[in-house]
Amino acid sequence: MMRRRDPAPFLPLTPAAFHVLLALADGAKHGYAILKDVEERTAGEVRLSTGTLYGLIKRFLDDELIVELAPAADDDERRRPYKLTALGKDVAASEAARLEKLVVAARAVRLLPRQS
Amino acid sequence: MAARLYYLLLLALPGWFREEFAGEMTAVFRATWRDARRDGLPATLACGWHTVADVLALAVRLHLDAARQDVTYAARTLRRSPAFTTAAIATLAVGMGPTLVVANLLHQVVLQPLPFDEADRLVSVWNADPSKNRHEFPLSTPDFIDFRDQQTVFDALAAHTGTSVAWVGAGEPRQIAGVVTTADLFGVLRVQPVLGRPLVAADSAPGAPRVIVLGSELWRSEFGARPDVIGTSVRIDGEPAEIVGVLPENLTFPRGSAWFWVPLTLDPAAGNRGSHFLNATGRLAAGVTVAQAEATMNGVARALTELYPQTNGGNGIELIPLKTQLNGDASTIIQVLAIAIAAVLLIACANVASLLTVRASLRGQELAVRTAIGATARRLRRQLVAENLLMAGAAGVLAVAIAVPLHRTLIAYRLLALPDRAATFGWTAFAALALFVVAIGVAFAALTARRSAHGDRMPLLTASARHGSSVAIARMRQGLVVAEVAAALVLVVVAGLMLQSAARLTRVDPGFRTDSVITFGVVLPSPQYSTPDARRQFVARAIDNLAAIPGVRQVAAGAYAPMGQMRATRRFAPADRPLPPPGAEPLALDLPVGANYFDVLGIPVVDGRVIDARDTADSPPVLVVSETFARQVFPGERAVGKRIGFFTSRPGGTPPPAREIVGVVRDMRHDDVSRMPYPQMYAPYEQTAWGFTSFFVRTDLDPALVRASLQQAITRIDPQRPIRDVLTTAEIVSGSTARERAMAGMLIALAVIALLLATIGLYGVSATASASRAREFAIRTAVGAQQGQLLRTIVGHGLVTALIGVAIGAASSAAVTRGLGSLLYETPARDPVTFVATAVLLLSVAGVATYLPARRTLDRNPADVLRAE
Repeated sequence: MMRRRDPAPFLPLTPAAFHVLLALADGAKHGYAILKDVEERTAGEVRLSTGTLYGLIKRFLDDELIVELAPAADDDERRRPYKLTALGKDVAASEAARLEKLVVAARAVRLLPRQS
Repeated sequence: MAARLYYLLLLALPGWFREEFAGEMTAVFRATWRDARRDGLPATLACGWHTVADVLALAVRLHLDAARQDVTYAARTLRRSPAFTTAAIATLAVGMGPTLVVANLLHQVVLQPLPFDEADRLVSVWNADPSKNRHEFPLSTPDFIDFRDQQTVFDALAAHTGTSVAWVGAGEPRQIAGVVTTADLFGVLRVQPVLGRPLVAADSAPGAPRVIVLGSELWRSEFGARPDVIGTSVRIDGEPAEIVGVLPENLTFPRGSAWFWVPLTLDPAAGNRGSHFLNATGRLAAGVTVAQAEATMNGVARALTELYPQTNGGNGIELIPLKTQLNGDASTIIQVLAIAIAAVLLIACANVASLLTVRASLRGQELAVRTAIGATARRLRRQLVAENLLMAGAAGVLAVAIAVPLHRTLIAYRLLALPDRAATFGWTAFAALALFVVAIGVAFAALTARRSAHGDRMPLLTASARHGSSVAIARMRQGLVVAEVAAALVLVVVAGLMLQSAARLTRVDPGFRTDSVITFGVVLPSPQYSTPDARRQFVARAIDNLAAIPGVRQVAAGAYAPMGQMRATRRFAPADRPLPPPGAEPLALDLPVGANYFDVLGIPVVDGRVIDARDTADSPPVLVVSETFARQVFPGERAVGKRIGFFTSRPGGTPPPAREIVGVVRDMRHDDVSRMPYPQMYAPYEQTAWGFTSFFVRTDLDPALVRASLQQAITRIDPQRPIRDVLTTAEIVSGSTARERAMAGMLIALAVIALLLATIGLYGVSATASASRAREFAIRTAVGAQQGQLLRTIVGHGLVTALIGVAIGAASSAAVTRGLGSLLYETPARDPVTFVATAVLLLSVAGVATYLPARRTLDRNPADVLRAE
């Protein structure tokens, strides 16, 4: 059985990288869909551009955080969907956990209001 | 439209990234662009800006990442073969380091214009009389005024001359050099003072208050670079003068030694057309060439000759571009060095190239394996380039580490007497080095790639690459051998000629004593020493004081020391004979000397007597002449007893009295060791009493012990009188050949490096060639070929290749040494012995370098060789 790789070396992620992984967390998407997803999720606060996006995609592919799927039969050949791997999910989850700890710490010193 | 622009933008990305993502990225961009357009103009602009910045940032990151990977990989590859890497880097650095130094000299001194505005319009103006083979001699004051007033080809024309004054500052009095000049010089050079004002025409008017402009060095050393020096008064030669200006740093005109600038007053009435002491520098009018200007000026000169045939007969004008003038022999020296170092560099590169071809044969397998497991051709090429660039870059860094101290040494010891501009190490040379590093890195990569990619890859994988030496590679190796032999031959020939020349120069007998004599100069300025009596008194007291120094055996005075800056010639004619036509009068070196001069300097008398104590100011005017003088003026006759007449250069003036020749002495080389003795005449110093004088002190002790007491002896007479140019005659003679010896030494060093590198290179090439043919030799031996026969074939083949190199090298040397003529002393530039000896040397080296590896290969047992395959 293959051992699962440790996500720690990939952390911390840049906000852009984290958002891309988040966008892929609920299913495979192609490039444009990822951009739109990030934009909507952040209410337009984070707008990725093609350079950043494909720079990240290339790195995630190399690091095996995502894989490329075959385009759907009816779709444009250039719209290739990407999907998180198990490792990609682990990395995203670990980053979320890391951020959560930071938030808890911030609450403890009352930088943020305590949750009701 | 936007999509097309976007596609162009993507070209900034690395090719492999584009191949994978460009289509997708363009599609996504199209969609986002459509969204942005829908959201209005601000959104569109923001999207456009974002996209461009983002793609460019990605491009930079990807390229840097790839480069870092390549370099890391290249460094690992190079580390895996430390012997090869060290040899290649060291060889290249040995070639590149000195090249960097010479390239900088070439740029600073030969190629760069002088640091003046539109410097190519500046020329030196000289008198010349080609009919008497006299060139570049100064102008007379009235002639200069006529030239200046009648010329139409210069924007401005300035007259100037060197001067030397006693400077009494904080420490001991010292003699410092300056320039006496017409105010025009600042306009000619277009130099603006950094403080105050330049000299102006009014400063030169008779009776104007005395002013001085300081050079930056004097300003710093004496005044601590204080800005408030303007208006203060200094004493030069005891006279007060007001400081009116300070000139900028690095104003090296006429040479680096000028410390100050004072006005020159040109008085046409007091002038004398026979007294030539003014240097002139002009700025050509726009569009006027040197040749046109020279022709026009010669027109003026001809008119002057018609008006003043007595003084101006034959005197024309010669214009020398100022850069040529200031560079002197330095241009030739630097160009010779450049050729020499280029030869070394060529050999170094050829050696590395030959190492690379050997290594490439081995790497061929490695590269084939990597291709087989999926590396793209582009990736492999990139890595080869990275590897070779890294190697060349390391050699470049090492070269800088060699070059900087080398340059510093060259300048600090003034080994080649180069102009001051040579002291700067400009960025241009470093930029050239960087370019060279890139070029050579790429070339070596191409060489490796070609060699490795030779044929298709499968044979590389299956067959041993060692005996895959193709015809092309063999050709290339032969080409390298030819290049190395040719380059080494050029360098060895040049070095050999310079060595012979320097050896001949150091063996020249200067004609005067070169042990146990020390000499120095003193200037006796007006008004303190305005009368001949005052000067005679000073000299007499100085001789007494100097003679009283313990260890001093004998002291003499003379106007000037041999081989110094000063020199005076004089027109004369034998009295009691028909006068030569005006302008055709012979010239001789005019050397006023005191009693004991010939004893102290050990110049033997050939006939009659020398100048001694009986020659005083009031005794009959006499003359001692040199053998050359006697032979030229009185061929076949006895010179002693003849009378020599002189000319006045002032119209209507009375000529100086004729002098009777009382003695003839052996020639001496007064100008320069390398120049044949000029006719010389010695008049008694007592009867001339010039305002500058030199003393010659013969001692039984080491002259260094006496040196310290010399200034005291003079100070006791006049505390404000500095002594200058304190030198032993041995130093004078060795100084006059210093540059030639330094040059020969450098060329010999380069030639030795070149020979060593070439020998290693030849050996390497033939060793590889022999090894790769081991199998062939084994088979031939097995089927009955004689070893001796095979050996002769191999060595013969090597020698033929070397012979081609020798032929090319000899032809190139002949072209190169032609430019060497002016630097060689009594050594023909195409000395056949040097050429033949060098050719034989290189052929022997080639023969041995071919023989040894071939012998070793043939000595192996053929059966073993074949079994090993």
